[in-house]
Amino acid sequence: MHSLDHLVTLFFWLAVAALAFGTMRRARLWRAGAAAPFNWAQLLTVPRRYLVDVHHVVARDPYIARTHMLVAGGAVAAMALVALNYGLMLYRPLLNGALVLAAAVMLGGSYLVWQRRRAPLPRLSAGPWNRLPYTLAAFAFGLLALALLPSALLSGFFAALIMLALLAGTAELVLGIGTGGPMKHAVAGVLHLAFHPRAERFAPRAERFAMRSTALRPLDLAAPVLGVEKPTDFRWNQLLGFDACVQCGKCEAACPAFAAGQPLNPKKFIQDMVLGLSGGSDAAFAGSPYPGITLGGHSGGPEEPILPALLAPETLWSCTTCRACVEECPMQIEHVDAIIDLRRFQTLARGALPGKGPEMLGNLRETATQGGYDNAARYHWAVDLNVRQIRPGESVDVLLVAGEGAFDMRYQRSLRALVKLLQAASVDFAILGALEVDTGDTARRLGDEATFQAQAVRLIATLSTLTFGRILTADPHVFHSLKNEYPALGGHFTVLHHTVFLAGLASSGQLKLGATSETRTITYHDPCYLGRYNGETEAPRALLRQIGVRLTEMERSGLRGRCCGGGGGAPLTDIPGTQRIPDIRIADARATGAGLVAVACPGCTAMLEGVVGPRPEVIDVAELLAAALEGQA
Amino acid sequence: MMPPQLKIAALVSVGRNPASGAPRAARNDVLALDAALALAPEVSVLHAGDAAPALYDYLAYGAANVEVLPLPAGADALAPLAARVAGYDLILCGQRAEAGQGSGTLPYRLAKALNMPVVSAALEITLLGDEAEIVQFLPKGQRRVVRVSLPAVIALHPLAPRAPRYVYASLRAGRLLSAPALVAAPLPASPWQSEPAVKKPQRLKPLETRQGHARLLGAIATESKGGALVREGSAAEKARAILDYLRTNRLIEF
Repeated sequence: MHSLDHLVTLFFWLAVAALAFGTMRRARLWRAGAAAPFNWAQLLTVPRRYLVDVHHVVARDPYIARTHMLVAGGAVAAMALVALNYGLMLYRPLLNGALVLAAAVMLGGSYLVWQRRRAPLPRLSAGPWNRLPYTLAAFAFGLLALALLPSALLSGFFAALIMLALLAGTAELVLGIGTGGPMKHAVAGVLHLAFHPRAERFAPRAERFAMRSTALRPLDLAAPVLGVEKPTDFRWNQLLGFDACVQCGKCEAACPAFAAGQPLNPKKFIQDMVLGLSGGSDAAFAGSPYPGITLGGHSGGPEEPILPALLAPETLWSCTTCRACVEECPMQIEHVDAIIDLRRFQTLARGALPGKGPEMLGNLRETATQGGYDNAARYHWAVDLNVRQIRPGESVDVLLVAGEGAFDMRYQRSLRALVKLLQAASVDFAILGALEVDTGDTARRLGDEATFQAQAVRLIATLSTLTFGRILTADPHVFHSLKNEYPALGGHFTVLHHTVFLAGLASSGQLKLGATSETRTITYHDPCYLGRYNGETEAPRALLRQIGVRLTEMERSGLRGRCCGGGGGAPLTDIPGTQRIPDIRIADARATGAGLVAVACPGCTAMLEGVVGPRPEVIDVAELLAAALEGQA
Repeated sequence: MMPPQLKIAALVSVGRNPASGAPRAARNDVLALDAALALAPEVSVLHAGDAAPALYDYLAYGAANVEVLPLPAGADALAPLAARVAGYDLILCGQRAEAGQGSGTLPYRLAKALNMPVVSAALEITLLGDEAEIVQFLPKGQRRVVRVSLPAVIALHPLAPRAPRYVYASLRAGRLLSAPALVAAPLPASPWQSEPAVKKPQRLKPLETRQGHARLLGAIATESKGGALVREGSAAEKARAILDYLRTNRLIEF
């Protein structure tokens, strides 16, 4: 019978029209955002970005990777075959055979989705997502029956049943984008991958490791709106990115603030931004709420200010900018960029920065130090070490930039250990000393782009009068801003973190290390701004191996390490939770049985040492190496 | 309640950061400005002196503009300020400047010149018709509520419970206005002399480790404090002995 085939053809084209209409409707919401570069040719990058970059993240959970491969692969193949066979009215039995195969694969995948959702992980969203296994199965089943059974054999009732199942499944697939249903992620996800705000993230592997795309975009301080006040102040491709979220909650599971009971959940944050662009209340959100904030109290719209109606200020200021959410996100959404955009408006246009934030920014403007110290005292930690202070006109190979840790008596021990190592390796180095001013990094994380740029311009001017080969620093935050964020403001330097530099010296034999006398179990805590922000996880481990340390890794380490709670100015804004982030991290260390946590950042040192009660000792890698120097008494 | 034509002026000065000496908005004057903005949307923000960059901070703290009354170096700000604020209902300022003489007498002298009452150490100000009710700071946590009829000069206490916000967008939108120069008298001769502070060397004393009984015995008996007299040896050896003493008594940490 041809009538059923023709009916399918009709439905197919109706579905295509519905999909196109829905996409246009949703696109209107995205296009309300601010301008960003646009090029249709970007669509060609999608297959590679999807099959390589997205898969790389999804494959960490092999079950869902396989499941998605079967469901999405089967669905795409089936739809392509339907388009060919029914859309173009070919009605070839051979194509129907292939359709059977594709539909069967998809049906198998749907079963796996159903299995997954029988006892769902707490990070998964319920609500409309729970109906997906059924609607997907209905679609697959409908196609299977359509292609398998000769329509002559079907009774009218069965034919109607098949068409109904097919319709239900098709509705889920094609109406999602227009109505904001779960399948919105397919269309928005494809477009998001094509027009991603950080195209550099998808650069070839070697390039990506040289510079991970983690630097914040400089803000034009003359712009009419400083940062983001309303959803439409986001660039359109950021809005598109929010819509790509599949609510898998991997960000939620990785977020240190969420774990500590602070009122932040990256997944809910992205969904709130979706609410902002489409309008509505958060009462229908079917995942974990922000800890301590009940659902239903927030709502927003495209032209409404996001704070405080849609988002509580405490949520915004809980973020440590550790990028764990971004690292985990299979859809490559940029949570931290959105947080910083919102913070910029709050700080620059409202001055609404909580806690000790305003005091620190005032200190930076007036003393060029975060703590309000006398900047001339910045090099006092080195006063008895016979270290050269750089002067204009004198050339030196390595210039040591200490950072704010220079004022902290604890971190001065690490810096002194570093100097001891440099002297032992006969490195030609000098310190920046009293000429040094703060990089402004913390100001930038708190959204104060004006103070950051003022500090950066000042430091770049100082550095440009000096002659040096490379910059060395023990502070990953200084490292990140000098290496990745200063180039946009005209400061191009070769910057090295001390672990990387020392690893080079040790492997070339210039630094002669003996074996450590340490007998305790040792674990290494990755600083976010060294690991995730700069991809450097190997150098500190290589150094520790070199002095005979057998590392015991914590549950979360390397690129997926857990934050110490000290990033993003979080210790200054100090939003209360049910526990402290460093306590969680020390619990990770305790679980390995470690008696010593090796660190490589003054922030991490301060946060982890602030944990009360019996805990593993916190020692910088440089201190461990200095104690293991060869030929010392 | 509040007459709509109430004219409020905030007097601001250039302060200095105690650690770096960098010029900045004087903290106490920022509080005065913030208190003034809480009372009326339009406040005349006045500064007698040069159009210093630090005045931009007051724009960030909410001033729509800062009017700069030119003042020759070493001249008294009283006359130009008094001439400018004549006819105002309320004049707010900090209690004491952070830089310069910082004598804290300006509110009093200004009030005298304008023949107005003056209230100092104000923590909170409430307007009640043609009167202002002021919570005054007193030591040891005490507070006093006073009323004053307007016009009046009110000096804010540095501990006034206000949270001024530094807003870059407001700094960007505001501007400094320069007023025509007025005749100013030289500063009254100061009874103060200034000289650089000298840090006196502190004597290092080892921690007392004896028990109470032994200490009391020491008060009645003349006994050695446990020191050693080093007469022999080279200068380096003597220095070594001093260093050892300092180290054993933990007076130095290296």
